[in-house]
Amino acid sequence: MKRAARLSLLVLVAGALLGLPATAQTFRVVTFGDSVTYAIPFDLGGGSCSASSPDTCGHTGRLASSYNCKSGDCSFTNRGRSGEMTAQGLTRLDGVLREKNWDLMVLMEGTNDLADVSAQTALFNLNAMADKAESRGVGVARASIIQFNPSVTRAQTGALNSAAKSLRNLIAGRASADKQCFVDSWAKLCNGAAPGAGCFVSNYWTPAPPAVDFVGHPNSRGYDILGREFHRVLGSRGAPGAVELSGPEEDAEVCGTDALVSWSRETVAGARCGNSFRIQISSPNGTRLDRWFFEGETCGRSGCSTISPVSLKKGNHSVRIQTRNTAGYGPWSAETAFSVVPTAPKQIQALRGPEGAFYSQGGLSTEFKWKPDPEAISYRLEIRSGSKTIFDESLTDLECSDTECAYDLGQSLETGRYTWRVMAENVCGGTWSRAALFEVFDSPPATAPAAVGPVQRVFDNTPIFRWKTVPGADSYELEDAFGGSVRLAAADVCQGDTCRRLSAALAPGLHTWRVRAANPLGDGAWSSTMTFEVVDCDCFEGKAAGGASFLLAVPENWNRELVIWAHASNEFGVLEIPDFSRLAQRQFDQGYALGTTSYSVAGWPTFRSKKDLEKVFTVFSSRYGRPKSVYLAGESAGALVAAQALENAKLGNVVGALAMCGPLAGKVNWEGALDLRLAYDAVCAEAAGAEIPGGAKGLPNAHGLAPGDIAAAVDFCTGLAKDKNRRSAAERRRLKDLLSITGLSEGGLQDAMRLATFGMVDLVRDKKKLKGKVPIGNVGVDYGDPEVNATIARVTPESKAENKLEDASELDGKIGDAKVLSLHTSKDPVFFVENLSDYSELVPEESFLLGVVKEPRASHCGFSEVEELAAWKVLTGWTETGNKPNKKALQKRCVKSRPEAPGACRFDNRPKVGGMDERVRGRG
Amino acid sequence: MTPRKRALALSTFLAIASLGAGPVSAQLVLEREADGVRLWRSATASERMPLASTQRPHAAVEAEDGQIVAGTNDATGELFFLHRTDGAIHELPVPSSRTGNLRTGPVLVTADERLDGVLWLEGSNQQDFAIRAATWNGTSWERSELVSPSRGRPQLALSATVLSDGSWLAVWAGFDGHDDEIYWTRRIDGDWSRPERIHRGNRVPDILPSVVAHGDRASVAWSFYDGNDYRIRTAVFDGSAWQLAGALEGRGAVDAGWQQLGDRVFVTYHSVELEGWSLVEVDEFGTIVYTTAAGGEVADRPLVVAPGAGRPRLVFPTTGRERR
Repeated sequence: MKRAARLSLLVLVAGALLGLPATAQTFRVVTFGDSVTYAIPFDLGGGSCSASSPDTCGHTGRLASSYNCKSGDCSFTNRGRSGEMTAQGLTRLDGVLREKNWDLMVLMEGTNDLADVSAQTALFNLNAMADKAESRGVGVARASIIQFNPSVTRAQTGALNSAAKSLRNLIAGRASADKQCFVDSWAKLCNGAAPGAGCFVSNYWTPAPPAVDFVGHPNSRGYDILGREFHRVLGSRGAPGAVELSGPEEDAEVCGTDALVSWSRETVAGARCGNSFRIQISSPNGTRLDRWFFEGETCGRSGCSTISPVSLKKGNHSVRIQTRNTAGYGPWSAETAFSVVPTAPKQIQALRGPEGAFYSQGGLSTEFKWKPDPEAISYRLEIRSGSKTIFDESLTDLECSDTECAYDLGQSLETGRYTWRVMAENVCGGTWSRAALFEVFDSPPATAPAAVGPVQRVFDNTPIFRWKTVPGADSYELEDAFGGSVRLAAADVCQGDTCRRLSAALAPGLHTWRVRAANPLGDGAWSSTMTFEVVDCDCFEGKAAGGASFLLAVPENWNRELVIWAHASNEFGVLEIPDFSRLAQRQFDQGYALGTTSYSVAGWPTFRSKKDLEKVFTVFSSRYGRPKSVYLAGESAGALVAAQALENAKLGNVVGALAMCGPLAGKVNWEGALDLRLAYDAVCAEAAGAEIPGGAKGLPNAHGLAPGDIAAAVDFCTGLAKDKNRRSAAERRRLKDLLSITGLSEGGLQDAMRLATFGMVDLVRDKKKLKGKVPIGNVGVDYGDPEVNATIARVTPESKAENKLEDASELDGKIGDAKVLSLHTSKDPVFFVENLSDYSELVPEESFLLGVVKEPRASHCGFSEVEELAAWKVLTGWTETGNKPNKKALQKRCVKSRPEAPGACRFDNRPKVGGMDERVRGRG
Repeated sequence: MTPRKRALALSTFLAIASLGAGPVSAQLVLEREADGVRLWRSATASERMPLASTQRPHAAVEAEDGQIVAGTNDATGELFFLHRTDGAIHELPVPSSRTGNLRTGPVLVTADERLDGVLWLEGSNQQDFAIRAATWNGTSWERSELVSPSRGRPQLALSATVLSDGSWLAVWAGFDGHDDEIYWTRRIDGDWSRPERIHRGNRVPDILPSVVAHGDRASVAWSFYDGNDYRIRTAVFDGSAWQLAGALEGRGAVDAGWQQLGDRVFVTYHSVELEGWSLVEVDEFGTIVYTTAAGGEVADRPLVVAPGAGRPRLVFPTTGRERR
């Protein structure tokens, strides 16, 4: 049969097999490849191929004929380029894809690579081309390259054909994985035929000598064979039918802006090639999505689905799907209407009660109230008493006013401590509010307040009376030293767990005071009566421009030396009157003048403490004369204040410093706090009542939380306050995880959480510090637990904040001739004892002495008075003699000093302290 | 420097079909003809060398006593070397100790305008090619040397040059299990160093390297995938280590090849973006001295013409056109 007649028959048969596309859209196919695709001049004279019209040549022309595209329902375009490598095709393809909205690309390239490029790289490039096409909605059919012609080139072609076969196998594998059609040109054109076999003479271009086809191209007969194979694979069935949408369901509310669309695939099964689905999502404002998706990327055994790659806005939408395959376009599916709910309602911030203390004989009957959220379709309310859930229901029928929701529990709550929280819900779920704490009392306060101070001697004639809060007290009665009695509202004088009351000016001499708690149901018992002495001294109080107050005291027998005391940070605001240390009385008696100051910023003090201390020294010098020498002493954050001032403050002749329980390693202490804070969120995420808002920033702005709230949350998560045997399995697991991740002990967890919440929020959010920028991060930190690693929030530090914190917290060890004695408790949970090791690497060995107090239970700064006194004596002895004390000097001096001060002597004579890198997880 | 075959190029079957060959030292460009090969040394000057139908040329050099063409005999899988001198053509012997079915991709190296040696790929297919070499003593090849053993992974696109101290520097593209990377080795006093990557391992193909000596330094250029296209990257060898330079202009860039004129070196390459050839002159430190391009030029690899210290030009021997 002659070729022309054969082709005509093929067209007739194909036309009969093919159904017309279901729509009038033109199905556009582009063939992309090298000279085998281009086919000129190899296919000339063998049929309809015209040198001026590549679309009529090669397998491109055969496909056009087979699909009978004369009706305009389909088109086949030849974009072969002779001599092209895949590395070039990758770039040329960009322009071809921009030409038209192709429906299908038939890709056959790679032959020109194989002498110099590995089959693996050729496949890489072909895959990149397929990705480019599919990303523009163009389906991809792949073809292997044909064999090189071994009848012409034997030895080299054997090697090239070996590579070509490798590439053929790689392409076939990838096409299968990506559910793309695969045309095996390799196998169809003389597969396995021996070199020189007649197959080649028949199917390959064999020009007359001297022209030689060194490579091997199909001739017209070869293209007939290829064309039939391409057509067989691309498909001869009719266009696909409509798919049935299975999701979203009609009128469904869909959570999130990336809706999941799912559909059946049965209607296109059997179509050979280019099965794809056009998903169109519209809203009243227009079309949101109109894109082709491919079977390979959307369909599995059970059906097809994809998540909308464009973000959908809140409101009503509709979705429909059109099908497509090689035979053309199918109809649209039925349209499904749905509405998008972008997010869950926000966390309710405004809980309007109950909160705080309630005094009622016979139980509390009250409504639970909060501010409504317009996004909510219901509210879930939970009330707990300890670990017992009193109420937990979704209130679907609750009617709220515009300004308030209120729910009447319908029962009285008995005496006890309760938490409650509420969640605004919609289809996306919701977020619990913070847990509000309230306590019901049916009697006067049961305990007497613990009086803290003043006791013994004070240098300030307006001391601050301080006592610990009593549960259930709404007021206190203070009977003070001048004989008066005053009733004080707890809200006015109490913050955290401590109440304060500034005294009126007192005369030198002995004074007494006591305090008792009260509530509407009556008064509690008086505290023990405290006695103190206002020292008759040359004292001076003042306030600096920055807001810090200072206090100076000079004894009659002044030895011309000054001790400047740096107190711990005060997380609840700037102190009105700073306190001296517990050593102050003894130092004063020894002839030392005293100076101290509050800090002009609350919380982490070192951002401005240098100026605060310099002010003390300046005022002291101008008033009393420049001291011949100066000692610095500080505890907790105050130890860092002292150590920092030793390096960079202008304080005269500083000869020594006593740094107690300080974060001398600087910023790394905050890394530990961040790890705890975020690990808490990860570990306690599922524990009811345990949520602490704020994440890496510690707490939210204006959080309204008290230390007791944090402690309660920790208890909810870990059962920490319970006897070990009464903790639930979940509480034990969470506690174990938390301690394992952070290296903390049970006894230190609450103190450490206080730093990680109240300390952190002050550091990060204070406008005088980091202004809301997080200075530390945990990206890449390995927490030793795959689940925690996967779920913990990852935070990237902001470089400016990081630098600012470093400037404010890092030491350089340049201390001149001064001596430093640094004291720490062995289990300090807030600032680890390992701070000492890091600091010791900065300062000269001959100028540094460390003292570690071995303690049975974790404490922050839990030194005995005699231990502090011994440290002071060792330091002053060292500065006076110049002889560095040995390791046992502290314990020896402590034992000798016992008659002078109370407490135990627990100094470790051979302290071994690791580095902070052993306690805080590395940042890489 | 490695010439490349463009297997399915239409031009292969026309009279002017070229191998698209990489240039060789002393500036020759190969152009295949129906029954031989033409060696272009300028836009107008060329020599023709007849070949048997089974001889596939791959490289050519201009030596002081004529031209040498190397390739593979497809009938036997063995290398062949043809030396044209004083108008006569002599076939040179082939290196001994053949171990593979096929020897292919020969690269000729010259020093002081004399043939110094040859490197080639030997094995049965691209998965098992070893790289071997032999030195030329003026009349015969010395014992063949193993440059890089078969690794069960492709080693292809060989290129080599001779530094001023007489050491050889070879580069090629090798598959590292994920993608092709550029490897190098150096032969000093007869010993080849352990092959190493020029660049750090990456996850994208690096292919088609070409190297040229620049005194005691060397430059290499190759194609790398930048995430969307192939572009040309260069690196400079300072005698002990490689220093990477940035990518050159032109997307879809392949076939980088060096040409040397006096002490000046030029890299030419083809880019799809330009639909033509680019020329970049670099100094021994890899600094770009001059660039030009011949957009829209479809002819095969051009020659570089640079009179004295003047601006280089691209000339296309097969068309006679010249572009600045």
